[in-house]
Amino acid sequence: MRILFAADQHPYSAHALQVLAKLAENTWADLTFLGVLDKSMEQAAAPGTVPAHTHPTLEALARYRDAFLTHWPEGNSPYAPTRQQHEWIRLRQGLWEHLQVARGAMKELKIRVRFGPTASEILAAAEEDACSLIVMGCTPGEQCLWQDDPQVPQKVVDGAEVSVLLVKEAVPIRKLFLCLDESDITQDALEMMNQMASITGAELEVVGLTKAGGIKREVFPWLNAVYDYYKGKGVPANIRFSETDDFQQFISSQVTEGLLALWLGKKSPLSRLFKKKTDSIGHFVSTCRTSVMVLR
Amino acid sequence: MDKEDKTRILILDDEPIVCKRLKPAFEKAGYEVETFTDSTRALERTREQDFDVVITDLKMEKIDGMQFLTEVKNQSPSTEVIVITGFATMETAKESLQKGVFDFVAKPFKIHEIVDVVRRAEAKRRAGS
Repeated sequence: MRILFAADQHPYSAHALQVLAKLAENTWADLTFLGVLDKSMEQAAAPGTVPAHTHPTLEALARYRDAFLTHWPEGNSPYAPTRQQHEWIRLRQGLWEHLQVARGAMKELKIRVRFGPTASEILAAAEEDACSLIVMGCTPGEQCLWQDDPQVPQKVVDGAEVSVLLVKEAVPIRKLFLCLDESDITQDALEMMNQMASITGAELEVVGLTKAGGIKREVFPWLNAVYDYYKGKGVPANIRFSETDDFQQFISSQVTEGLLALWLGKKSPLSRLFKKKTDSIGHFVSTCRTSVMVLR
Repeated sequence: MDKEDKTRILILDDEPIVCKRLKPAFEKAGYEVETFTDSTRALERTREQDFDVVITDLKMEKIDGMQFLTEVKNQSPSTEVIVITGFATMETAKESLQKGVFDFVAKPFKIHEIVDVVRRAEAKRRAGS
């Protein structure tokens, strides 16, 4: 598993780091910590230097790295480098430098900065790195925003080809609500929920979204297949139903602790439902006071 | 490339969809691949034939992945074993490494990622021979 941690310098990113650390402790995923700065900051950069190196986002990335690495008990971290060596590193086209680098860690921890529109750069990084999951924090309560560029979480969720975990607060996850409609769920999404159930030890509730009191013929086989998948894996799962039209109320009344996982495939009717809202998926993500995982 | 020269990979996962996804990807990348969903049969096969790389799930019925990889490493210490698991924990990761596995990869993963891991395992084998 490769995880992209998209972060800025605000407290919600630090909360998300705590959740990421727990995921990494168990999965030993390869990690990229990514900050995104305005394109204009790159243009004045001297070769070989990171522009705006005192920018709060870059300082935060260094802090997150240090906190992440020191959080592991001595000798237990797969991310700790085991040797220093000199390597030729390209600074720009036509200019290389022989730099001392740390290598030998079993798992990658890359700290990167990109320049450009924040959401687009996060999405591009996830694709280039072949990540399976994007983890990012957002403001708690009835909003899910980034302070300097409020629409970033929503744009990432809308545009991501992979699952996105939006951490609203670093609170223990006691229940996982996996909400399904009639569209085919992917193997990756099933496996992601499997890991979440295994790591958190939380109860899994599979929620079938129904229309007009009935369950569509298309939904039933999927619910059964998902239920059987988890049963076969020894993951206890309960099935319940919610009316699609009452979904917002379901989220605010039932999903009060735990993680809301929304399956949003490209052809998902649930996805189409979100599109009808003025605020797209952000509307539902905001309704939920706990963390949200959008599954792809 | 002759069949003899190809790196031989055994894939064991009780989910047929995982084998179905990995086999063509590795074959396309030039490897010789055998897949198994039954750990007992996979173990029998490793007794008949050494593999360069073994990719195994952990949580399975009959012989579990940890027992399987222990047997594989006992029979053929030079075989590089890669664990893939949907139930990743720090304990299983550490136990796998103590048993000498080359890498521990939590699901889900992209094909490109697991192919990369196998390439690194091959490089290690080449460096050691």
